[in-house]
Amino acid sequence: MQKIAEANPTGASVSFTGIPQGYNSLRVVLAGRGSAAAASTTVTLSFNGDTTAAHYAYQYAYGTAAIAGAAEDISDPGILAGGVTAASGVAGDQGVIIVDIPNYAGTTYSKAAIVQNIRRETALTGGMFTIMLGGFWISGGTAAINRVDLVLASGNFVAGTTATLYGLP
Amino acid sequence: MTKLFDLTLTAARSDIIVSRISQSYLHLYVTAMSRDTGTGDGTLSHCWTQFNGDTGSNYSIQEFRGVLGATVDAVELLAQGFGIPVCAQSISTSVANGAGSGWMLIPNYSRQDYKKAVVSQFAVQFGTDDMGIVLCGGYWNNTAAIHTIRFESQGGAFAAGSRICIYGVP
Repeated sequence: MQKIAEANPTGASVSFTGIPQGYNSLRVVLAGRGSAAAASTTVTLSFNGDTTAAHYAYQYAYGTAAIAGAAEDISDPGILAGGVTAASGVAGDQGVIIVDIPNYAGTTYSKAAIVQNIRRETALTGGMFTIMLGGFWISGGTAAINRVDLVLASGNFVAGTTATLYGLP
Repeated sequence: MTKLFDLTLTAARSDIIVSRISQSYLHLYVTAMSRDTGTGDGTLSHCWTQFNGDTGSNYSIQEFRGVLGATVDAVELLAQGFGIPVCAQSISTSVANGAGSGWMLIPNYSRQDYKKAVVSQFAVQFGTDDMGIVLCGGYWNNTAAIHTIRFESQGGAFAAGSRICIYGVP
């Protein structure tokens, strides 16, 4: 696994552009926190700058306390990549998002992302969330991915947040 | 990724302590494949990790699991001193030669901005037709840089052949 780029975002999004096409898969690791006035805020993933409505679909499953659940969205302008702890979440906490994009440079199939996310909103029961997501760029055709964006639903990333893009040979 | 530690046990051992972990990387990636010589909780045994010698009630975890066929559930353990699991292990009554396998990512382990948040995912075989798959999120309520990881077998001891690796991620 080789590091392609590292960012320390303090705005509402982080973008990896001009991604080299010489790897088999991509992995993004985002660890940090948002400034939104909420316990957590969601993060949306998109490819090649495409944020057109209904171009993405995703399925996720999660656990919180003793509850296990699942849901889908089949028409969205991006892939839900979970969320990060925000301003009223547990002090000092961060959320973690891991995104894997297999065969991102291929031109035979449409692209999919596999996401794992953890975050903690409170230290009380039901305050932690562990989530796995599968997302699909359903209108992207077979285009190779040359850009990845992660965008907060509200607020900005807080200093100390890191986002790193890796290539897997 | 650079391998920092690789140990395959030649005899049973109750814990493994890795200290003086290099602070030169951005993340740590841990892999484990292990079996417990004891009986654990009667079904499985966790391979717990604790950081920097902290055995206090400073760890919280949330697991999301598929186990024993069609069962999907979730479990949380708040403010406990066991730690955060890198994998669940087969136990003495599990299928012969069975083991648990897992990985753990510790982002920004050497930074001190935030409390440490850890992601792990693992699979374990209990019996010939009983398996489990788990995604786990764990929190250590401390912002300190991680320099030591202790691996502890919940049920008794790590069986010979158990293997732990640690990698530094740039």
